[in-house]
Amino acid sequence: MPAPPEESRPSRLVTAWTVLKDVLDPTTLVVLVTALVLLLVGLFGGWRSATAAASTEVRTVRAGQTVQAGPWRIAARKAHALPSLGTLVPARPGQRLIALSMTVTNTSKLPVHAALLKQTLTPTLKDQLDWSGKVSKVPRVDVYRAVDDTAAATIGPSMPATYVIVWFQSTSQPAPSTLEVDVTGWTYRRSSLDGSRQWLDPTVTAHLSVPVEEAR
Amino acid sequence: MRTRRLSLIVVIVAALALGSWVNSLLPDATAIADRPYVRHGTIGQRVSMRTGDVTVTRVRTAHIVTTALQKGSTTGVWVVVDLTWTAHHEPSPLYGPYLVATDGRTYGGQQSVSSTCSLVQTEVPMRCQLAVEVAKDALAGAVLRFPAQLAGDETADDVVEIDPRWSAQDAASLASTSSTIALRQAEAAS
Repeated sequence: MPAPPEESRPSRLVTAWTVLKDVLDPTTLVVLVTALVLLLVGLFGGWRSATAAASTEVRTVRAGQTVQAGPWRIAARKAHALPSLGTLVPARPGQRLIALSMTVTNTSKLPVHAALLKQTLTPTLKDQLDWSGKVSKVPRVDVYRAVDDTAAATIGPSMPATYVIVWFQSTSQPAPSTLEVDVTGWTYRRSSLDGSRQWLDPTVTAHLSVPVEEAR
Repeated sequence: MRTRRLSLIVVIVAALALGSWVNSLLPDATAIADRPYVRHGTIGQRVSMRTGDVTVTRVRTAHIVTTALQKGSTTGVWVVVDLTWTAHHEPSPLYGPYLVATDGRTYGGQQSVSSTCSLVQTEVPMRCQLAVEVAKDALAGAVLRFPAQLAGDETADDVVEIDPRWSAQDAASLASTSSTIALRQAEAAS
């Protein structure tokens, strides 16, 4: 028995319409379109206005320029490579300190611990050291207050002050001529895990580039 | 018949839009549920909360605060709070103080010069001196808060709120201090 002749595409559409036209009256079409619109509105966040998409551009900032990263407004001043910070951080064999001084302001309305500042600035430094003086991927980072040489703890809102962040590098590597630092931004929102409000969603927002002055 | 069905659809969609709009005007249910139970008081008044009683006896400011091991200066001002803390039911630390300015800015948490009221046994009143670093322009109208627990800025739990009743004039005077205060260690009140 010969196979039936294959139907052309326009002819298939006509056949489909003939089948559907009995059920697709204008009212049913309105209901279907309305359901589709409601579905799409729900999928794209309901009736709330869409939040502006955050810029993903990573800009390069230099000494003296200001960058906003989460709660922090940071203006880097100078970077130094040095063996110690006096009695605050004594010299240790095989260890070099890379210190970046900067003006930091907490622009939020809540106190924020300096631990978040440490996580905000990530240098591109080879062979960073941990607290035991060993090369580590979980390196030691200190932050000190210039006003009284104490270790920074919680930083209150609207109090611009000079801070020094210190990274520890093995002297087996040459000191960098330029300190390159990724600056991470944060969003203050409710955690989906425990409902508490925290600075979350780390995103690199800027790249900081500061020449390093070597001190002996 | 067709007109009635179309009208019904329009009414349903309009009702959904209206309900959504009304819902957007209502306060967030989670925010209401997370509101703390604030126990108000003033200097010299004993104020009770779930974990114990707080009596703030004096509030001063300083440019420098010291402990046996540390010396802290500031670009703002140190607010030093003298208080008595009595834990109830079980040994409890006193959290705070947090200074809340009239515009909502909040200061407190771990300070660079540490002073605590943490080792407090049940029903043993302890005298403590606590320091918190704040911006100079945050003092006028500010209040001191002591939460029953540390759980971020929103806790559906007791909070003691002490109002020192600082006017703008008081605040200007307090902010211009150049004094140094040596913080005492916590001690049992007689």
